[in-house]
Amino acid sequence: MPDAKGFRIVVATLALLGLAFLVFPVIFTGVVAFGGSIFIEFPPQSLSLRWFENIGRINRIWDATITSLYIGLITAALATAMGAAAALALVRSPLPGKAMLTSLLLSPIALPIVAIGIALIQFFILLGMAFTWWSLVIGHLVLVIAYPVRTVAAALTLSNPSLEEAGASLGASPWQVFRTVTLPQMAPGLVSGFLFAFLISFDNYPISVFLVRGELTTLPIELFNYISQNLDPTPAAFSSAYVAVVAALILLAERRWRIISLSIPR
Amino acid sequence: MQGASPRLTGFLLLAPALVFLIAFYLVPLGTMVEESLRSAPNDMDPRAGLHLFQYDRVWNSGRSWRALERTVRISAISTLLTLLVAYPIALFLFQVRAFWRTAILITIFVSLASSLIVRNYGWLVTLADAGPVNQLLLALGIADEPLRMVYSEGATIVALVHYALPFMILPIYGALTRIPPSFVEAAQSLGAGPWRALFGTVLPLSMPGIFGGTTLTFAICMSAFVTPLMLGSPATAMISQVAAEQFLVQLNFPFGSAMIVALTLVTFAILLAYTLLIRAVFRHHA
Amino acid sequence: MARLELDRVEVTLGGNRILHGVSLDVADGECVALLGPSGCGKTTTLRAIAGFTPVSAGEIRIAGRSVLGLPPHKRNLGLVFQDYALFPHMTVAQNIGYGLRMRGEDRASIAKQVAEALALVRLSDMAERYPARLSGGQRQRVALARALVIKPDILLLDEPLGALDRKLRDAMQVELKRIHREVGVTTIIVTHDQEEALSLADRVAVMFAGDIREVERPATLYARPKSRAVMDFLGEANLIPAEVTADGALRLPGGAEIPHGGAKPGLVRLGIRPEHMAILPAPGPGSIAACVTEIVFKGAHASLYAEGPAGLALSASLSPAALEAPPAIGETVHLRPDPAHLILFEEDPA
Ligand SMILES: Nc1ncnc2c1ncn2[C@@H]1O[C@H](COP(=O)(O)OP(=O)(O)OP(=O)(O)O)[C@@H](O)[C@H]1O
Ligand SMILES: [Mg+2]
Repeated sequence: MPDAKGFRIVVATLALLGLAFLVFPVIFTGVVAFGGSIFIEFPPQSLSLRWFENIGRINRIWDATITSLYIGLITAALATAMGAAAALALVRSPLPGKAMLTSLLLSPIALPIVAIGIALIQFFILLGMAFTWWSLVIGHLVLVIAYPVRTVAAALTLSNPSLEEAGASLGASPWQVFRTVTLPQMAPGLVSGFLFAFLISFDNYPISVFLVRGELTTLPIELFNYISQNLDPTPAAFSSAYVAVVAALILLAERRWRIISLSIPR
Repeated sequence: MQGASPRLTGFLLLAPALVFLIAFYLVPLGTMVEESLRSAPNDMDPRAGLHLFQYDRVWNSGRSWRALERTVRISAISTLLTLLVAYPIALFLFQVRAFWRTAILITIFVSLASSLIVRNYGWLVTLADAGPVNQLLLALGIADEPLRMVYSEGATIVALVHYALPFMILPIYGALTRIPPSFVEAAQSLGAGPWRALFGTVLPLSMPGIFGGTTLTFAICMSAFVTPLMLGSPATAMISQVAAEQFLVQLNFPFGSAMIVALTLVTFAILLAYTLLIRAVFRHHA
Repeated sequence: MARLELDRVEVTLGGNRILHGVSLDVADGECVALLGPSGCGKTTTLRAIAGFTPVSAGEIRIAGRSVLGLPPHKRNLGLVFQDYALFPHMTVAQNIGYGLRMRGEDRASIAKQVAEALALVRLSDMAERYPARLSGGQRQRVALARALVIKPDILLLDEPLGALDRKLRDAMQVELKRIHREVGVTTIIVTHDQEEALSLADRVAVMFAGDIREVERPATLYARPKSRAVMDFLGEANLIPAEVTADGALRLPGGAEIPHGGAKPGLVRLGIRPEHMAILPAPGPGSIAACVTEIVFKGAHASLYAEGPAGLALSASLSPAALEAPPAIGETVHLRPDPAHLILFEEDPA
């Protein structure tokens, strides 16, 4: 990259301003979450943990969190299983029309998200299965299946196909080759695909909003409603906890599986 | 992957995802398109036939047309701003030591993975009347009284840029890593200053990343729904919101479907034009 | 350990015939080098033996039994890949023990055999390292140990030294020879480096365009190749157009004649190695006048390149003694082929 002191200083200044822009709202939210007043205050006049305690007390949010956890985990598991199998086929099998199949599998993320919700609600009403738990899982699955396809395909593309032949030449049956060679090569892709599928399902609003009704509700819906109707700092406390958990998950996955390099487009 | 028929194995592996997407993605989308070609809500008369009545309304009804136009404008502005903020960050990743590079990349990832509602909430508090930005403006004497920043097009754009930033930084960074350092050194050894090297060598060579990032960002902004809902007002609604209203409030499914199909078509048309333009301009770099 | 027979093996890939009936017979314990230019089908031959590439016609037998019906993992072959294909998620010891684990051997026996294999390739202190932290030569030896530890019937090496630098390659050649002597396994080694082929193998099979042209002991192959293509491919060679006259002499370009019996009258090609071209200061019997174009110093000796009649390119070796006072560039020298080392090839119709 170009090198010269003045140039470096300009780039560094602009970049640090940009990074400040990226982290400021998160840090600021974290600070006000500890405020003691029932309104958001900056700087906080007194400190307290009451808003963190309050998260657990708001029943709708708490129940919705549990629902979203279940939906997220099941969606991510299904997406990872189906997406990884598809990625394996796309990278390693001699299939006709691969380019078209790949774009079909990746296309749900390119479409306006609301379109998926709108299309599905009409479809589910026709089928008579609207506003059920499974309709939510299906809706999320359509959206997130692309992520494991992408990350697992990236992991497989990075790995050397002759590894599998090496395994076979050493006496491993096709199933043993898959278990001892292919699967470990796919691991970083599986982990980051699962992680992103889960996080995106857990956070989804634009599809869920069409598919929930009454008691069937998810965390983003309830969080959104709470933010629109209340001014106290509970959402700030919730946000800080959320970001902390996500950061911990990502750090862990990066240390163990180096998921970041997989997600940098090549 | 050897065995009697690798092609069959491949097809069996692909089948679950494929069948699922056909059943719950392609078919519902087809149903939606069909719905958009009906003339009135719940018009189930099989003899009614299909026509473009709803699309006519999308074009001619003031609210949906303005929302569509606003969506394109907001998306274009946000994409440009995102590029301007992202590019120096991507360059900066090459100036710092490995530890900081990883730290910054992890930060970007955490941001990418954090809840959109949580991040939008962060902007609601940050840009609030009594928020830190207003406090700063008052303290510096730039404003005499707190400015109304939230619930506006500007706030929507700020939050969209924030949302899209990781999607722009990562492809550009990826493209920059693929430029052999010798190219830049060669340019500089031929007497190009760092700025000449940047604009003459680095920028054109990172074009695939810029193209990927801007395409993705534009598509994300075009389909924005939660962000304008939280940071905008009904007067600054984007098209996804207006379409959603047709489903959740007006219960006019054909009209809502037509809006979403129109949004999809407009997005693809703009991206196609953009792709052709970039190809024509950078033909010799490919 | 076993005998390997390829009998008119044909392979077709993507509609192209890649192997046109390859036949090769490798004796028990023998080391045969498969030598040929890039793209001639060496890797394809190995992959057909290993079972990764389907064979469309012909027969492959190991120890007398056909293996065509066996999938790769039942053929009991040791394969060393050009890029080594070490499992990155396993340590050196785990890599080497992999084949034994797949055979379901017990832990103690695996540990013992892995230790022996590590000792054989002199890597005993690297057992717990991951491949990413090994040098190229070390990786090569791990790949070799991993292939040998399963006691394969045949060892197949695809350009095993291709990724190493010159010096390491020389050292590894010695190492490979020692290991082959100690283990004595039937081996096919693919290479496009002729020096490697000539120095490592008991016999060398020269392959062109999907066809094995000649299989011979290295010395014979070098001194008495049966075809002009093989002579040209192996080492440096002069290929001189000549004519056998009616009275049984060879007429060289420029008109000189050497007596020669036995050949039918007509056009021929004379093959002669540069070391068998004498450099004379003045015309002698059977010499060709040529103009020196280049003298290239090559360490132990030097090569003289010259242009004969009608642009004919010729080369000869200069001894260290002759190099003390080499001919000048542009000077005319007289090159005389040693009749004892002449090989006659029929002139190609082309
Ligand atoms: N899967 C394939 N489909 C079609 N043609 C192929 C395939 N694999 C190899 N070939 C062709 O077969 C020929 C022989 O290839 P092979 O890899 O055996 O050559 P090689 O002798 O090992 O060359 P090198 O020394 O470069 O490794 C080449 O012309 C190659 O293009
Ligand atoms: Mg090869």
